[in-house]
Amino acid sequence: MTLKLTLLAGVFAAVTTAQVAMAQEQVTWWYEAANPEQQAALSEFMIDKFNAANPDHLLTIDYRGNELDRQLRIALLSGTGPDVVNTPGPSFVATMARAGQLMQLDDIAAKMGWNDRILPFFMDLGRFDGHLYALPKTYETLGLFYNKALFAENGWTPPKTLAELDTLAEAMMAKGIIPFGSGNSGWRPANEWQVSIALNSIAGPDNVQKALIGELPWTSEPFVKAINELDKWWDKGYFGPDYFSLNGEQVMANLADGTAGMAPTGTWNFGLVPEYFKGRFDDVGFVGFPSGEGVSYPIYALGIGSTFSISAKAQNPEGAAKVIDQVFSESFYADINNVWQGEWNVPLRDLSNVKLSDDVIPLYTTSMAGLATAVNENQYGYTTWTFLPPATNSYLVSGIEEVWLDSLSTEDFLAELDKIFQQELAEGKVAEIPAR
Amino acid sequence: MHRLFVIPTLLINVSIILIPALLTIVLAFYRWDGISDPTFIGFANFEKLWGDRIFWKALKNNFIWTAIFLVFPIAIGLLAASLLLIIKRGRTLLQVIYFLPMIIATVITARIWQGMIYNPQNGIIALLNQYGFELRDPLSQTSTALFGVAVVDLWHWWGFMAVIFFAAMRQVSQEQIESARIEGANYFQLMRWVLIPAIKPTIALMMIMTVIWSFLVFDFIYIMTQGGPAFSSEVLSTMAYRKAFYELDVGYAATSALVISLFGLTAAFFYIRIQNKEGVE
Amino acid sequence: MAQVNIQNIEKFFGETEVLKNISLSIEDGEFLVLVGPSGCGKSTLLRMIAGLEDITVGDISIGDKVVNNLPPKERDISMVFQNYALYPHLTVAQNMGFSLMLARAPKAEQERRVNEVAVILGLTNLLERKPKQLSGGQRQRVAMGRAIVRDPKVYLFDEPLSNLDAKLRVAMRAEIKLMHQKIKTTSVYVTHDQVEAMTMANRIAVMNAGRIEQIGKPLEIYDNPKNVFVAGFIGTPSMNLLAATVDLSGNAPLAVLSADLSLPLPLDTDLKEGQKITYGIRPEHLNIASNGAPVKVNVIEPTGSETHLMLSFGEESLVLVARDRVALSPGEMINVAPDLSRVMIFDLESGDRI
Repeated sequence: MTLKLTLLAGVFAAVTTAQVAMAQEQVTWWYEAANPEQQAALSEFMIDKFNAANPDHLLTIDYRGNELDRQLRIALLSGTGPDVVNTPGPSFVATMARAGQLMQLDDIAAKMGWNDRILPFFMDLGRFDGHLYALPKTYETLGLFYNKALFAENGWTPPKTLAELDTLAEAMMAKGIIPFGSGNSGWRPANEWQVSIALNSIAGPDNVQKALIGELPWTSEPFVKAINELDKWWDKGYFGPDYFSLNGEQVMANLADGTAGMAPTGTWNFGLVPEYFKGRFDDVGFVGFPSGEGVSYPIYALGIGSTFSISAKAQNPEGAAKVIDQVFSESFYADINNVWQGEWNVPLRDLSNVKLSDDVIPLYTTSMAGLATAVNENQYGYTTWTFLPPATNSYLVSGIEEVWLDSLSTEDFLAELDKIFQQELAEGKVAEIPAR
Repeated sequence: MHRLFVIPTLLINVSIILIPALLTIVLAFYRWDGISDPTFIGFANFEKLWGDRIFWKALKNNFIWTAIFLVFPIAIGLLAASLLLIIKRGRTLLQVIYFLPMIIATVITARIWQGMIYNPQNGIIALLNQYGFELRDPLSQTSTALFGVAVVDLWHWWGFMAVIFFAAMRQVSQEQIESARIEGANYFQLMRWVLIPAIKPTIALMMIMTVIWSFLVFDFIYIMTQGGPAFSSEVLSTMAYRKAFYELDVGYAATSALVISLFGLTAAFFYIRIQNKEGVE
Repeated sequence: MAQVNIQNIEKFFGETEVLKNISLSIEDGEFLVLVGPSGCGKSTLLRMIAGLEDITVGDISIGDKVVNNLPPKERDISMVFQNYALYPHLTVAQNMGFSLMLARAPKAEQERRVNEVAVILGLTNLLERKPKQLSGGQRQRVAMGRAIVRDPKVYLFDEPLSNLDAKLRVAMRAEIKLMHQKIKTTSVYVTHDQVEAMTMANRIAVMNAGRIEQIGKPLEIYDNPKNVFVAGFIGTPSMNLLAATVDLSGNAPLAVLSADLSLPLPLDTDLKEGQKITYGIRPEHLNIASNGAPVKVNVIEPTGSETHLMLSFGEESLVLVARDRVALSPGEMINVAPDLSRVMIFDLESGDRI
């Protein structure tokens, strides 16, 4: 018996020594799907640089594919999972933070100086019950891509009001051009882009904000008007005959060859521009979506593609904080955005020291600058996938199809949406919305 | 002592079948987002399900799906199997060809159909449109989306049925078949009076399994339409999946899963009854 | 009713030739038995008549019609299989009326024919049963009934009695023979059992390795086998066939079997001194005789009506069938002598009868 114990102790000692001898503490980070070039970029600009700068830590990134979100939720629920946690958005952060799965980041943020480096609006989105739980990874917005060459050829200008939009769309359709290049075959929730645009640019961001904090029901008049307008566009055929068959890449291809004149979609599409407008970057333009009556132009609905948190059960919280800190560095911003646009648009306050390479399309740089100005001037709105709680947003995606395909009225759609939203609001599943 | 040998299987059964099954049943009585603590809500999920028009739509679609798969793959499978039985050369090759769609990953099959056949811009449909056929992508129409997916699943599925039926038909005594040929049976009479009666147990089993599989159908629908457009191809499993993983309503998802199991259990009950009957004979 | 003509038939399975230039004419109303060891091609030949196997070379005609390219159902034949080939889900009546049902004959007609045949075969009480509920003999009778109901030009039997026990086989044998005597339809019957062949056939065709060795009436074949194969195949226990050398030096011609054993040869044979032969004598034509050759008794098998003696001399063995009871015990030495008029001499090399 004694012998056994001695042996055990010996083994234990050996294991401990081995760990000390390694002297490097692992930092784990699960990432979603990324193609080989993207993985190479992360290896070069994140892993290698981090490990070089922090010899006592060892960062590993695990690519978990499209179901990352689900895997994370199950892992965190069972008390495992990575140190660095990417959630799909603030409403998920709210639930996870309240379930005690995420670490409070207030002290780390103060120590690392994140509050000074990151736009306050986005910092606020990571706060719940007075504590900071998450930082936004990338911010994105919705607007109108358009084929500049086609517009020039026909003497068209980008519309700023709904009336101008209608006139332009009719003109396009008369020439057999699809006004709104769009499709949800590759990504069914693409519907939510259209709904987000309608809510923010027609009902207006003030009304959306009121609805999000529960002061205005979703059934109220401005939203009815917005959804009716969206339904009208569908019925008139602005979205083209093949919305349910086309994927994002085909939409970009259609825009590039003039099959479609415009594409109401998000900034992540800048990643596709180099491929579909190869050698003719001047042919593509990006502007805000036209605004409805009483809504100033342009309104950019803001979204957060993903957030950074540290797991409450993290093995190496210090390493995780350092990884997140590196993400919000100017050098990483420049490095990664040179090769991979749209996905690493972290909301840094000051980009004046960041110099992007000449290979990056100029439109991206100018659009981002324009966006920053608009946000500064309160010209921002709310994307549904960032600000609506999960069940509400999921219903919205399928429900709008029913409105479009005339199996549900706008009023019934909004009534059901409101019912689901109010329940989730009561259960504390809605992110805290900063005041305007 | 010999009873100890049961323990490993018992452990596996309890841990991977019994416990999750019981958990699902329990969860059906809770509201749970999969993150925070579950709340007991009694039969509220069941009441909600009863009043949920999408549930009824999904259930109806499951029934349509079951009907399609009870008829077509079995009919085509029988036809193809009897063809294999009649021809003498190329059997092995044909069997491989029949079986091929079965071993292609679901995602690939779905993407091939979606992108290369159904797609109205660069699929075969687009080509046909150029030649004057007025065809739409079936997946984009509420009236045809479910059938559009069913065709793809069917394409990948019937060969499996054919191979199963062929294996069963090969067990039929050669003399019975030859006798029928001598007695004057044509192809349909041979099927009607000899082959189909002889492999009836296999057909019955496949039909019961079809019912179970049809209520579990998920992959092709999820990949190709995710139940859309406008819930037109929604089935119980895609609905449960959406509830559990998109809407974080795990309790409600468990309730819909229970309904799926109900149909599976009914089919399983018939299967066991048939099996017992055969055992007696 | 029809005759069946088989002309210069050859059959290949891939590279293997299983039937070699077979010609055979089966007379109208004849009961012809194809007999031979397994693998001799007899079943293949039958299946070619039925149309279940293709003909590689040659012609088969039934009646006046060449049927080479006719499918089985158009040849107007019926076939009875070894495993009965009854349909388990159909009743006896449905099985028997199968061909009529397939031809969509009127219900009344179907019933009448089935009932007629059921009476002949004694199946009337079993008509509503399923095959599973029948004994082996009853099933075989149903299979035959099915063939008879069809009233074909030719009956084909493919070892129909092989699955039955010995007693039943004997009974069914007689039944089939009786049936044939009644309806007199041309029949071709395949068996590996030479007793069946002998007892049932009008004529027997003995087949071996894809060839017909001999065709003839049963007793003709028994008495005058053309070669060693036929001699050895027909008859039980089979003929004693012994390698020997002709010795004409003495008074009487002798077949020298070994240094110390010789058997007498018939006087009128045309043999040369020292010729190598096969000496054939059926067991029943070997007698115990005090002036015979000395052999040792190994085994004594009394069957009741006769006694089989397994004898040996040197390395060779002999069988003797005695009609009378013998008081012998194993190990004893006896003397045996052949009935000289029954001795058959074959060329050792070719096996042909001399």
